[in-house]
Amino acid sequence: MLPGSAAPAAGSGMFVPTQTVGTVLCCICGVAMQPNPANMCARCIRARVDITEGVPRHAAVVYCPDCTSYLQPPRSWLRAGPESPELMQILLRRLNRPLARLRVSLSAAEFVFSEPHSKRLRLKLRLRREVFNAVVLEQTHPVEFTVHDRLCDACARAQSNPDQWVAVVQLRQHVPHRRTFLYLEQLLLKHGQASLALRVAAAPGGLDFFFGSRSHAARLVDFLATVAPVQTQTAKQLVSHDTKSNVYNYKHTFSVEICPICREDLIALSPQVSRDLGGLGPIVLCIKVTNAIALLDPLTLRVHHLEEKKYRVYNFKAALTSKQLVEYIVLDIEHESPEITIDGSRYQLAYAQVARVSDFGKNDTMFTVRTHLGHLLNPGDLALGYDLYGANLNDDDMDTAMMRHSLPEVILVKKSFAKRPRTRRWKLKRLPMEEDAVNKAKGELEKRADEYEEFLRDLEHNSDIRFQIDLYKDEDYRSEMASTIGDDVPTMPIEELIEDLSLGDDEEEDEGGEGNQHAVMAQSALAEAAAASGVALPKGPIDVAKHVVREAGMKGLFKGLVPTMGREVPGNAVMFGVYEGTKQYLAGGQDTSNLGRGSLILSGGLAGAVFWLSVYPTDVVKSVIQVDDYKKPRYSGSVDAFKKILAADGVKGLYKGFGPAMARSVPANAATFLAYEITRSALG
Amino acid sequence: MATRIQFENNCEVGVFSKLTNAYCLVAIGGSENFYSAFESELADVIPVVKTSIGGTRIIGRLCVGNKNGLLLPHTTTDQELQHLRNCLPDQVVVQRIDERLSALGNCVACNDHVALTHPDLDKATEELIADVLGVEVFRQTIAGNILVGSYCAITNRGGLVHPHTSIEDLDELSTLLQVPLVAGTVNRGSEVIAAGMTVNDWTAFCGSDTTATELSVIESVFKLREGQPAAIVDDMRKSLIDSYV
Repeated sequence: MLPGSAAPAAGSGMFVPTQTVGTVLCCICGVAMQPNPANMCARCIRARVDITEGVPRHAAVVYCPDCTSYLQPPRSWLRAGPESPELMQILLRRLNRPLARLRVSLSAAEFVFSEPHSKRLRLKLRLRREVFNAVVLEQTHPVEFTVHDRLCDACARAQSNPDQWVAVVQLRQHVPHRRTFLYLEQLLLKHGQASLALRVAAAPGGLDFFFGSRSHAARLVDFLATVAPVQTQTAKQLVSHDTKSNVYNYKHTFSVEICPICREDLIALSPQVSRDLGGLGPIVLCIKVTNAIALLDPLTLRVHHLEEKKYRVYNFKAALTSKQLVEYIVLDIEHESPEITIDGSRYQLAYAQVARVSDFGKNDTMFTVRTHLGHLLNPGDLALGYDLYGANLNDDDMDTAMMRHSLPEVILVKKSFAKRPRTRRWKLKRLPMEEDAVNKAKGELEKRADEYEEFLRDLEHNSDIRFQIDLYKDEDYRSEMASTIGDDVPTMPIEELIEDLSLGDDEEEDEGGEGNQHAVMAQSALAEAAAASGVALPKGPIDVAKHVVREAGMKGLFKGLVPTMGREVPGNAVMFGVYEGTKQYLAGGQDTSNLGRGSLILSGGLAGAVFWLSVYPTDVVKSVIQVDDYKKPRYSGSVDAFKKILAADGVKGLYKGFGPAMARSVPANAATFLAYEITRSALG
Repeated sequence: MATRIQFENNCEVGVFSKLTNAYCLVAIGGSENFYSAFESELADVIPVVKTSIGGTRIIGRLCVGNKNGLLLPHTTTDQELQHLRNCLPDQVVVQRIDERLSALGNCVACNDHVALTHPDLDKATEELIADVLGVEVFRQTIAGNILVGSYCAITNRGGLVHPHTSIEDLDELSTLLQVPLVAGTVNRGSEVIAAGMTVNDWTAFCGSDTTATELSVIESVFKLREGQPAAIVDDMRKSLIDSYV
């Protein structure tokens, strides 16, 4: 645009002359430049002024190698990873004061890599300062921090005495089994509540959690109060004190007692309690324990939630516990009312005719009782129940109830399934726990294992509990066992399982870079199943080849080469041998050029049949290896595959699908050889 | 020739002096150095007058003048006016004007033919400027600054303006003034040109911070070297030798 020519500003209608910025000479060196507030070129300014003057180039930081934290003066320790923003913040705070004093502002900072063992941290800062009026200069400035190792107070204390706990949570339940603790252990794992514990120890009748700080223990106690009906008492013991600085060191003890009523316990309510709860019972089943206890009257299907505080007032005991469950066989079931849902659980009142399994076949003792499990039970099923008829009860309230009411002989509690040892496709994590002397006693180990097995079975039956905790996929589990499990035995749906996080190096070596990725991914099995079910189908041979190379490397393209060679080399030798032999036999001599087409077809077909007959087992082995999972191969090699097939299905297994192969091969080979002969004769 | 001087350790020499083609005004300082610098340069040619204006020393910013006249602000006392009338040559008209903007040196920049003025000056003042100084008056700004007297220094031979002046503005101003202009600085990058230097057709005085680069810009745009005898001899010699050979 010409200077001064009209350039109306858009919209305003005003004439705005164009302004071309001219050049002036730098007042020092005389180079032409755009005018700036200093009217000095950048190089001259930089040569004259060093804004980093006075900014320190070296500084020191104190680092605790035990807990990887840095000292923030005066005495706080902050945890920071290498080259992390937190570390940057800690380092920059060391420079804050000199920068502020020099009126230098910081516009950027970055780490320069240094080896950790060099004990140096390097920062590259960009500093900015006003040098003349309205002239702001920016300059980079390297700072090197020397890292001094020193244990922080907590680590130093831990080093001098590793088992230095400050607070202990003594979790107790006075019941003969450990089921509650197995469940709580899973809850703590899921919510990460016990991760701060220095140590977890099994104690008689419960668990002890040791903590390095009182607040960590208090946090666990608070968590327990939300998931279980607990009563807490605290105590503290003075360990040491310094009156001059008013420092008192205590050891804190939290005694947490879980109410002794467990799920599936049978309780006889005293007339007073029964009246207080609105005429509930007097025989009630505990169906659920959270921070309240849910009591079900199995005869009327009324449910009452009893809070922990209320429970402490009534303080009843269980008349019969799950140890005393007796197995019954259901002979007949007669539904009394439709199915109803209470608190998400389904119940149906029914009359059941049952007999003890121990009596069954020996005598004719049968009971007709009311049960709340009408929707579950069918004639012929097994059920567990409390035998009030034969039980040797030692409970005043039960006696009172028996006197005042006509109680049923049997209270059925749950359906039971045949117990057989089996593998599971899932597993649970465990807290690392120290065992005490009592728990290591003879026979205790088997009892523990039984209890744990019982707990696992319980999980399978009860989806309510299952949703509260994390289940993990068992990598060792082999699916061929699945078919042996009966249909009606409850199993865990695979969608509920979580893949365990395992960081292994050994896997990466034979799979290249790819191994890394899938080992770190902890994804739900459902997502994996969806991906594996072939959402992304390969589009063509090139795509397949790309896929194979990406997944398994160039090695993947040559998978099953050995058995293929094993098939082709002897197979073709036999095939051509048989072909020529047959032709000579049909021609009755060495000269086979005058044979008719029928003879050629016969020779070719026979050659094909013999080919497949001789090499079919190697072909089966090859196919099995080629479709084997490359991540977790079932067969270590051709010989292994051969042996396994032979062991599983016998010789028949080696000739699986032989019929269709023959149907394809005989006409195909006949046609091939015929075409070959005709072409050869036509070419002369 | 451009000279580097200081007024009592201050480089803003244009504030404390007024130099035209017919006279030079110098502030009364604590030492004679400033005055004697002017005296040694100009004494043979034009009168160098020590004065104050309105009792202050910042005379260069308060008055405006050229070879035809001198305009003084209303703060000027009668004694000062009388002193100046006595000291200046008779053909220079000294006039005190009643203008609200009393720092006339900041508001008006002029050579012997043209004056650039602050856009807000009175109409009467504008007429007085035209009459007394014998110039054409244009209301202008320089690089967006209305204090035209501060941000430029002009003579009959050239002019130096604020470094941020755009090329279009330079063209316009040099068309008005009919002299070549250049954007530049004095006193090591200062853009207040008229405060940092004072100049007439054959000599200039700059603040002592002025760098060699700035000095060379000043000497070339104001054509201060050509007036020197040596330059004339050089010129002659060149043409002589040229024709001789």
